[in-house]
Amino acid sequence: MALKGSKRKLTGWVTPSFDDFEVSSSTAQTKRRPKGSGKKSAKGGLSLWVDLYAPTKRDDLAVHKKKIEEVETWIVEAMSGIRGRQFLLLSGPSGCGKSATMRVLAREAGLNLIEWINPTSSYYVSVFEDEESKWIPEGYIMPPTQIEVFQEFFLRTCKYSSVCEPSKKNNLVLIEDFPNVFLRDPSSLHTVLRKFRNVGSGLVVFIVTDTTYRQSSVKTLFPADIQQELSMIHIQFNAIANSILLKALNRILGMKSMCEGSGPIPSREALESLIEASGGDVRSSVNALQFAVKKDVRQLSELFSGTRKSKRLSKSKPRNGSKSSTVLLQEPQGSQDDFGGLAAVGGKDTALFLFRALGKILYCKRDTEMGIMDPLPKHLKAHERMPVLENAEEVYEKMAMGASTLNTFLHQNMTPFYADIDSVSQALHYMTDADVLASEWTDRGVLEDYVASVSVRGLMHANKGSVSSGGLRTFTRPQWFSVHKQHQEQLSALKYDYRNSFLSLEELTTVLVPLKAKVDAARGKGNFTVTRDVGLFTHSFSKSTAERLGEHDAHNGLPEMDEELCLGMTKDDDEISRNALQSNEELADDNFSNDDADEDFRIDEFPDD
Amino acid sequence: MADSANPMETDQPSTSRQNQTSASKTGHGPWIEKYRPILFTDIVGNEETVARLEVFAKQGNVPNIIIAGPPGVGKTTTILCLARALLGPSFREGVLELNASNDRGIDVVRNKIKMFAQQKVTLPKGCHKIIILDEADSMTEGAQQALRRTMEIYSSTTRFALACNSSEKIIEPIQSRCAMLRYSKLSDSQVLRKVLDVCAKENLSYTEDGIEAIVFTAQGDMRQALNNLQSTAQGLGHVSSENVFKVCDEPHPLLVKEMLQHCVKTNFDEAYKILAHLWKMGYATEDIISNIFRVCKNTPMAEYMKLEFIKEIGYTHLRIIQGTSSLLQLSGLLARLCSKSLESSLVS
Repeated sequence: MALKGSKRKLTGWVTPSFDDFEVSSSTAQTKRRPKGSGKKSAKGGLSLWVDLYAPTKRDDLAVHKKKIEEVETWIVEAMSGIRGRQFLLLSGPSGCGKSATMRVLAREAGLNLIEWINPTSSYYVSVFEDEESKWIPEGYIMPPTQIEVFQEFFLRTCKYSSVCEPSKKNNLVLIEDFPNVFLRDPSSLHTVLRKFRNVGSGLVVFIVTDTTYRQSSVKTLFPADIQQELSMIHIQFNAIANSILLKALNRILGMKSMCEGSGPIPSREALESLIEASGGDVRSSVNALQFAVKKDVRQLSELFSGTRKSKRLSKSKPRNGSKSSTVLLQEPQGSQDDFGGLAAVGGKDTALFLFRALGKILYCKRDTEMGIMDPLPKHLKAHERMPVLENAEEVYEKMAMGASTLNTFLHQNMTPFYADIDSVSQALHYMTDADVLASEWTDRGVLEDYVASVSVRGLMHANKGSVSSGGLRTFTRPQWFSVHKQHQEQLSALKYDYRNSFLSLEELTTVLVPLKAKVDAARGKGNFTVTRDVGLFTHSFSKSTAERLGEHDAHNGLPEMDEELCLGMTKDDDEISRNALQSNEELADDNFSNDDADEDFRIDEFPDD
Repeated sequence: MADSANPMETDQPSTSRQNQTSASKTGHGPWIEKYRPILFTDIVGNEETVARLEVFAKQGNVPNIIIAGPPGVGKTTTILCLARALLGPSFREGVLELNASNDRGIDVVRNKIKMFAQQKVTLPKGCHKIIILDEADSMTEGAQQALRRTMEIYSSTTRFALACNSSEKIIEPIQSRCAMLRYSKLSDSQVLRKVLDVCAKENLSYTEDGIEAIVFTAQGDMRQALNNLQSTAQGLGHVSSENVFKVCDEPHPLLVKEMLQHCVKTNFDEAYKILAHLWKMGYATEDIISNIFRVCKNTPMAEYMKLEFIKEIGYTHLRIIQGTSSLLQLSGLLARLCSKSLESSLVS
């Protein structure tokens, strides 16, 4: 703040009305212009690397060239005044450079970038207070509501250009920090936008972060029809590829050594493992880098030693098609140490950390030398096993992950590890037991340990260890999340489309929508995707999703999957005899609609491998 | 205060090893606060991460961090140590600490946290204000969403330190803005060392099985260990295993262990005797069952048996939670456990 104070300048019309806003815009402008290295090193002690080494040029952006071009095209078209290029929506996983791209391009285009930041509200109405009983003095002016403030900001910034910077003709309004009201009641946002459309001339960019597990707010904030109505351009960003990420980190290290003298440089391997752990999130990987580089660099590589080992292994045996970015798993041979080391510094909650735990459980190494410790009676000889190297409970505790989530991961990946149907059935038997234990959602906290113990021990026990010849296998992310997410999205889309319908959701999804989809298909039209998606459910789904865990593809697999699904349907459906499918469809639909909106993680689908 | 209270402490132990000076030192504060580490070097466990944070504390400019881990492993302690090391004397002005007991809805994030972030505090050069959000996984999603932009905007003046039990409840945008540190459970030996250390400092009278009992009941949770130690020491004077389990109100694990071993040998009568004994002593069904589970996890037995046992115990626990907390359920459990190693012809 102290630093900022001297550099304050008025950047826009609305600046005086809230304090935050000013800070933000000055941050945006001072930080992102690291011209002299001298200034930077002075500030180096104070800023996060994410801010300090934020991209300033287009070449610095760790985003795919195509995406940058797409955004640029929009800016050019919008500035030249093409109708219907007023709104842009950027979405993508967190840390994939959405905001950074926008800022850099806006500066290059000479736009005056103004960001909306939620103001601190001085006025607070208690929810429990009765509105009517409250006495309001005569002539007392109620402070404006959040929507009013937002609308005011929006209309003014869009209408007038900045006085202080006359060179920058156009304003670009960036909205990332959505007021909470809009998340609850998107229609109020739409009203504001419609109003703006008739008045304003500035450019508006919305940035929405996708989440992996929940329904993304893109669909709730900007449903398809609103996007169409406002002729909004939607650009989806993907998680960043490892090679680009490596380049970005190297750039940062280069800049760092330039202004701070020759510091220790971490090895390429260490960087790669760090990137692997971050799962295509540039912000998190820079954070992790800052955290990791601090000490001695030799220790950095030690810190990620567990990772490095598997990395090297995956390089030595490159597979066709998928390059080394595919994370292959070696049979875990390390002891607790590398597990703990990896646990120490991680990026996000991503795959790599999970890999090792999953590997420990599924490979289930046994001690072949010790001999059987506690012999079982004769009739149970079939259940006798050599002692396991890992303690099931310890593995679970180290994961810091809910038991039900763990189960979905195990369930997704278990089948290749078992030799015959008997062991698969035995393993699944224990998993179903665990599932029953997890069903009591009110007491899940208490029973969580049982769930984990039963499923992990059950899987370990059922593994007779005869399939170890395969060696390397890839682990995939559970389909459950993507299916659940898609289900949620389609449901809400359906609800919206058929909001005038009096049918219940079950009737809607099982009767009306399939019928309508068929009619549409028969008449050769029906581009209405939701109806098609839901109404003509086919098997193509199970084919299309094998998202590899931890690979950067895993992230962009989610949106792509939707497209693939649609494509698959348009191709398949005309040929396949629908009668045969009909029963399946309805079954599937039924399952889906029963599965309610609660967020518990149950295992619903069985991957057919 | 301690001096005047001394004569009144009638329930203070009269054991010979307990002398006057230690009693005056003890005071009445909880030991978890009294023995909360102030320096990084005193923090037990997770050495790798702690050492790294120590380096940061020396050089300044710590990124935003999330510490995730089970309760009682020193998450909050680490953050407090970090804040103290970074801010030194201006700790009081420069730190805002909010935990789950504070109201942390979206309004608090929007107002209290933002206000603090905007506040001007005179700090030594190169220092940041620190906002500590303890138990961050209990924050609502809306509040977390409101936090994410705040984190970035004020990054030049303010750093965030979050502690949580499970990182999956923290939304991705926030995870992306922080360096994630994972703490693991403390090992029994780490807990043991600290407990012995405290025993020596407090000059307690203890037996070895008493300390063992403390470590067992703690299950890698240092807070629980120190609390149990203090309650036993101050309540009953002597730290022996009987006293510890009396204070913790838990069935004695040795009894439970014996019971399970009888079950393995399909000796229902003996097993039931122990169960009836525990029942008569008045332990709650839920305490008994969770104790059985915990003991079962640690009792050596064949892998298959352990798996089946845990499964059965789980089902019984489920029923107990659903409301049928009767002796019948527990006896049924014992019978089922016994039948596990019987030949199937006999069972059916």
